[in-house]
Amino acid sequence: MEKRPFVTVDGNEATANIAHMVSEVMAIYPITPSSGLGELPDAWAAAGRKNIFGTVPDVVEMQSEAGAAGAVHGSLQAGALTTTFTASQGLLLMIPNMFKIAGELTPTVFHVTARTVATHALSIFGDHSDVMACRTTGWAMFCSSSVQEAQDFALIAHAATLESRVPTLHFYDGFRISHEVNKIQLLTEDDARAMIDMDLVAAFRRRAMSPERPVLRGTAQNPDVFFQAREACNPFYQACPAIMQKYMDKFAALTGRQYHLFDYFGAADAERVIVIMGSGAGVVEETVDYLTARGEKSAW
Amino acid sequence: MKVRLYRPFDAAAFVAVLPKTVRAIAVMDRTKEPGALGEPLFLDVVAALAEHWATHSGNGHMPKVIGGRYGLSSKEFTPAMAAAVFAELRKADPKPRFTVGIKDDVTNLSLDYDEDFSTEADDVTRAVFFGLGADGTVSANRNSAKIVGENTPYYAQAYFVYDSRKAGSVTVSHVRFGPRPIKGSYLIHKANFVACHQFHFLERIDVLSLAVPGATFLLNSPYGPDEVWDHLPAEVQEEIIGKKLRFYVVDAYRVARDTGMGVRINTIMQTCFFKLANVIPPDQAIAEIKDAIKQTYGKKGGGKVVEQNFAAVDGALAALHEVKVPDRVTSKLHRVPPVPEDAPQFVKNVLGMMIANRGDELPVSALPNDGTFPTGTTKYEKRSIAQDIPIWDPNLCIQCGLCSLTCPHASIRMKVYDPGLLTGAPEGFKSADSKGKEFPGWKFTLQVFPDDCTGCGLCVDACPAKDKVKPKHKAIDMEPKLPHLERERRHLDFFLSIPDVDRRQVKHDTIKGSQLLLPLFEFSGACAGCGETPYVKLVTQLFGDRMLIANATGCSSIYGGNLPCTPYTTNAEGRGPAWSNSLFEDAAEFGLGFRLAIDLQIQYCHELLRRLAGQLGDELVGRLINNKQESEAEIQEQRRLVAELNQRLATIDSPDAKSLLASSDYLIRKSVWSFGGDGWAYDIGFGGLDHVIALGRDVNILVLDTEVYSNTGGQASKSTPRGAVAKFAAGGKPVRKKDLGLIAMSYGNVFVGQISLGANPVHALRTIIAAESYRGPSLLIALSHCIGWGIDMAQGMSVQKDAVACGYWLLYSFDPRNEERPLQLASKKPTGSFKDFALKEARWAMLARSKPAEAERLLALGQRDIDERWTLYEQLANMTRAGVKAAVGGDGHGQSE
Ligand SMILES: Cc1ncc(C[n+]2csc(CCOP(=O)(O)OP(=O)(O)O)c2C)c(N)n1
Ligand code: SF4
Ligand code: SF4
Repeated sequence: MEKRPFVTVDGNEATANIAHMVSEVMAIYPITPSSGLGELPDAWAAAGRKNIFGTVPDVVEMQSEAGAAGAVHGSLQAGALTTTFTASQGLLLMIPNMFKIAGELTPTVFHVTARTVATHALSIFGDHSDVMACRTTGWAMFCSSSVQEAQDFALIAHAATLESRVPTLHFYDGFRISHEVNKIQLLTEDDARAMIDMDLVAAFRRRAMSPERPVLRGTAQNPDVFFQAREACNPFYQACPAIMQKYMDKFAALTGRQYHLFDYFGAADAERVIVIMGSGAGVVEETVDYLTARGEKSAW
Repeated sequence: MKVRLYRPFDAAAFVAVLPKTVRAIAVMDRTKEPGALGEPLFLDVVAALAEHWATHSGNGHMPKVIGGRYGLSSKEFTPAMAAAVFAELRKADPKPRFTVGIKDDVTNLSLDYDEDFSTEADDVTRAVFFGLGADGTVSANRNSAKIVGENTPYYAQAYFVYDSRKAGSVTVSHVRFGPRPIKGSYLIHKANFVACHQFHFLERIDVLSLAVPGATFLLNSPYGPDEVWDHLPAEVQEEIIGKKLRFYVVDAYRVARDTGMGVRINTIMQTCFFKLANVIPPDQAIAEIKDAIKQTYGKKGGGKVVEQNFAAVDGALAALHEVKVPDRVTSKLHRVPPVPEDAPQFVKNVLGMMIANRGDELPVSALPNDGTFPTGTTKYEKRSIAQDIPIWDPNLCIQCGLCSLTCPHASIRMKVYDPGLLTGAPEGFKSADSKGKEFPGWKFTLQVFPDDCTGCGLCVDACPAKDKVKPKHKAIDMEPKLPHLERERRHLDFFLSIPDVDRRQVKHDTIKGSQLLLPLFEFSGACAGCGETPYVKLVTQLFGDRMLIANATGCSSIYGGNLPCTPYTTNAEGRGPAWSNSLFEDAAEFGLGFRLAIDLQIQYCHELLRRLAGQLGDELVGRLINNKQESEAEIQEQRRLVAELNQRLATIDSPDAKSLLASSDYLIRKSVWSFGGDGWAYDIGFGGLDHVIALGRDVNILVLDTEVYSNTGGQASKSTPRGAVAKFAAGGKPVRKKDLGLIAMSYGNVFVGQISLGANPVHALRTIIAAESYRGPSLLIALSHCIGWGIDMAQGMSVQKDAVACGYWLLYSFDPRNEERPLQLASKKPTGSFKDFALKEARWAMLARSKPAEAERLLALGQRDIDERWTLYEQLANMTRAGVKAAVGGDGHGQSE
């Protein structure tokens, strides 16, 4: 096993490093604050840096996020492990393809630096209005709340989606995490190899479209069968949380960092609880520590 | 409780209208959010109750709330289902989440419901009509609803169910008339009147399943009241007797013929309905029908049309007869199974049910969970919709292959074969000596597929071989199908047993050679005579065994991928196009994605091959990596090498060997295609198309240019030509057509071809081959005639010829590999006027009728467009690139890889 060094990086670099290790194709388009996520792999690929499979990922800039999502969809259908990075308006443009990618039970991870959707005004800064606009797409939504978690969850997500077949939107707060520099323990290529199950990769490739064993996807269906076919994916969603937990456990065995679907911190006999997702969690944690030290029964 | 204002959700107001007695609530959502705790309305209701119930009710016992999904994709929602939801609420332990309207045997969320439960009142007329998309049944029923709704105190409701086939589609009209407002928006399941407007439906569809006992059954029948009984399938007889139906026949097609109405039977059937159903006094109804006829046709100055329609109405009444129903089933005929007995299980059990209009009965487990379906399925759906089919005269035939090339439905095909194979041929099986040098001593047969042919007539129009004595007689003539049917079926069976010629022996770039290649796109549900499908079929003949298709939404995705069946199919080895539709707007990017994945996987395979070279042998590895795969022979050699590789890999126990085994298919050269219409390529997908061709990767883009949004009914696109009337351009398109090819040529490294199969099939064929062989981006813009043009579809290819002759459609190819003169015009200098060409098509002629002066102006501008473009292209074609070549050092415009 390679040693895991401590490095001081921002959330985007921590995440991009993982994405580069475990992806073959990235179709991208710039948008603040996710641009760095695509720029780094582009530069690494140009320098010949390989992924864990021994190939240099193909990083392609498209004409829009809609185009990037289309290319991602196509690349996934043709059997390459594919990812993209975006936020806000860009994520909104991806929604049509996200419905299809999920409906076809296609494993993939999109890394999203959650950013405000423009309303009365544009804002490049962070909140969850973009990812919440994707709730109906059928994607798993997986939130990391620190730079360390951004890296760790990125790998867990890429590993778990191969088994669950539920595509996963991995998000963290734009700017607050994407651009926060923090000291983290870096995951290595050996870690990535340990997490990614090559049998599942082979299964993914066997489902790919090929004229050697052609299939038809993206059919048009009528009222007679659409509803039934739409319900056929239910077991995958039922199984998904346990699979996510399984890969978090696998990750814990590997690195010692244990995560759960819901993590509760604070007094075991708490009477007041805050539920929160994203970078605000660290704030509450710090506050809870402070208050419980003074006898408050609080938790998050 | 009805929700009116969903957002902002006023929780207090919501709770306030609930009686305090409520103990259980079901919240119905008509949407699905996989992975969510519940659908949106359900979650809002739970939150509203949690916040407000205690205050509202004065007690803490919140009602039980369950959430259900219903009606996705217009699935029926009926009183029976609503009753099932109430029954669930009555249970002590109801399903917290449920679905209703389907049978879910996977996650068991569905509620059972009693199909016989009905709330229909006896005094409501409930009529169901089965018709063909083209026979006017729907418009007649729309009109009937208006007549009753607007001229009587009665209330009316009409709703129409269509299937998505473009040729031979079935429509079902559901019409209610009653004395009170009609509230229930659901299909009729208990009909007291059933009309079948097409006799042959009885063979395939259980039209009487909806009839209640004692209902009236009206049948359009070529057989009179005394003979019809023996022509009914036994199942139909059984239902008529069992349900004690009152049974009437009318020979609507005869009445239509006799009164000069051609094949328009709608008014005739409508008249019979009013006569029998007695919704309003028949005399009054007939007066109203006549009034409507006058209003529709009167103003078009067609006194004659009005008279013909009147005669049809009167003729209908005279031709309507009650059938005396015998008391026993006597028929030897049976309803035909939807697909043949020997079809694969999935086709029989799943697609067959859908074909038989019984898809609603399929449980969740029957359907793929990720939207993946088998290809090669239209061949099981024998729709047999042609009245006339082409009949071959081997003596006259010159074996050019144009009929086969032209056929949109792959329903006329040719084979060459060793004469020895003729032993055992059925009697009368036709063949001729193969003409030409390639197959000396072999035999040639042209075969029609009688049950798949649509009778469009394009093949006969394309046939150049005329009898010198009787010039009307060609090497193929359209003849009534029925007398030929049984024999042609036998011949077809034998024809199919003759092996296809080895692809390596055939010259792919000749019409005849290309037509000896097996089409891997057959019997689509496109309109009879469609101008798009011949291109699609040809591309699959050339590259189908190694192609992936990213299809934009449009006609091509509907005839390509609308369930139940797909025309994409496989060859004897199981290879064929892998097809998918992503969206309307992203087919270029979707196809690019295929290319990215494939190139990356090739890189991966090469990496693994090198890693495993020690075990696999350098020779095999070298040959696999270095085979250029440019010719058919080289591609077949590569397939052999991959098979050998797979065998060796299976014996090596290592992770790399396993990974390579899963990816080795990628070593066989793939042909990546994006297909779509002009709406996609010129408009909504243009940004993506432009970007993808600019990226320089090896993708092929085929634009099926019908010059309108055909699939949605003919709206204008930027490809719509000047002066043409289209929806959203009702006053004639004021500006000229966008020159997509010219834009693409501006990149210099994009192969661009503008082609027309009707005008110059050899150019089209060779341009397609050249485009595919180019290892960079290729854009093919293919002129595709369409029903939206308002032409005689049987002449579609001839119309294309005229379009090219007058310069309206330019033929050329721009091949970046040609360093001297990349642009080659295949069109000749235009002859004839644009106006003469245009006015033969309704899209321009309509404007000339409605706004003659404007039409005159736009047509003159259209002529100028043509002249200008010709001048421009002539100059471009005369420019050489020699200077450019020197400046950029020789390879400035070559392919990117
Ligand atoms: C984003 C989006 N807008 C509109 C549609 C509806 N739509 C489906 S096909 C089509 C027209 C297709 O026209 P064209 O590309 O010319 O292809 P054709 O049908 O003529 O072959 C439209 C408007 C859609 N599917 N998606
Ligand atoms: S009539 Fe039309 S469908 Fe039939 S074989 Fe000829 S071209 Fe094909
Ligand atoms: S392109 Fe035109 S002719 Fe062809 S299927 Fe569509 S509407 Fe019909």
